[in-house]
Amino acid sequence: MKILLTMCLLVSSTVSIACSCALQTAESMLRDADLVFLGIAKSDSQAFQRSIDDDWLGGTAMSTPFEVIADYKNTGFGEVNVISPVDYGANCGIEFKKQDGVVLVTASKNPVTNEMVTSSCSVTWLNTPATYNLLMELEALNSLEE
Amino acid sequence: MKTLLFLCLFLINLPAAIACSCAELNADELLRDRSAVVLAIAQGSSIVITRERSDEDDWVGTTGMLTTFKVITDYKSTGTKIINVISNPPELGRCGAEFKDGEVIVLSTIEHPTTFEMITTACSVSWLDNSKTYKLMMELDSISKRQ
Repeated sequence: MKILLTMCLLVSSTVSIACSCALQTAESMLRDADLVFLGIAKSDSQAFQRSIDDDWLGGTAMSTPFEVIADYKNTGFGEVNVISPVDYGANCGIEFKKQDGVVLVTASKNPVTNEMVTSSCSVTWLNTPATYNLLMELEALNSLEE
Repeated sequence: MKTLLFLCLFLINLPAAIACSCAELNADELLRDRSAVVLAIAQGSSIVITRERSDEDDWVGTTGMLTTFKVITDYKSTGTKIINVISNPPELGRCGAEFKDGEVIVLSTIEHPTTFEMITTACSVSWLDNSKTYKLMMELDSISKRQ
């Protein structure tokens, strides 16, 4: 019985440690995010101290500059800087590397600090047909709105 | 005759100097003139190989570069998820191309007439790291879906 209980606890702790993400569609991205773009990291993410530390990002976060390849929503610039939580696993943090390749990023504006914040649930690398199809849907929806 | 045609298709973009000067890629032309056109991601960096079935009269020569790509989307004719592509080493001039792991590329190739290798050059590819290549990708998608 004790062994069974221990196993149950282990299973539940594994679930809580992993970052579980909801499936994103082109429509939900464009509706819910403040920023949607296809980009490439210009350099590796750098840790920095934030001016506040009482929100979910905490006092230290990662900052990454991106070259924007395609702007689906609101970047308006050739380059955009995105903030993410330090990757501890459970917190859906993410750190980018320059050689990571092409990535579809959505970010939300922190209303207090105006930082553009993303997480591991908000990025998808362009390495599969599924991500490619998502880009095509984003492009199509954008064309409809124009 | 096949070899001559093959050489013409590829040498047309080759400059007199060692530096490689390429015409801008055009979606219609790529889909019309090339054997295969894909958006693909490099699976590992290019490696130098010795092409045993080739001789120095062949455009690539005995020393080539081999890169394995995973096909993200197929605009023309590969019909497979993994492709192996041959190019010239860039340091030898002749519009050689070298790829790094994880790079996403609009890639066009010509099938070698006798070895059936998929051959590419620096003038036949475009790295997806800028809006120009993105527009090319969109044009390829649009035209290939109409055909």
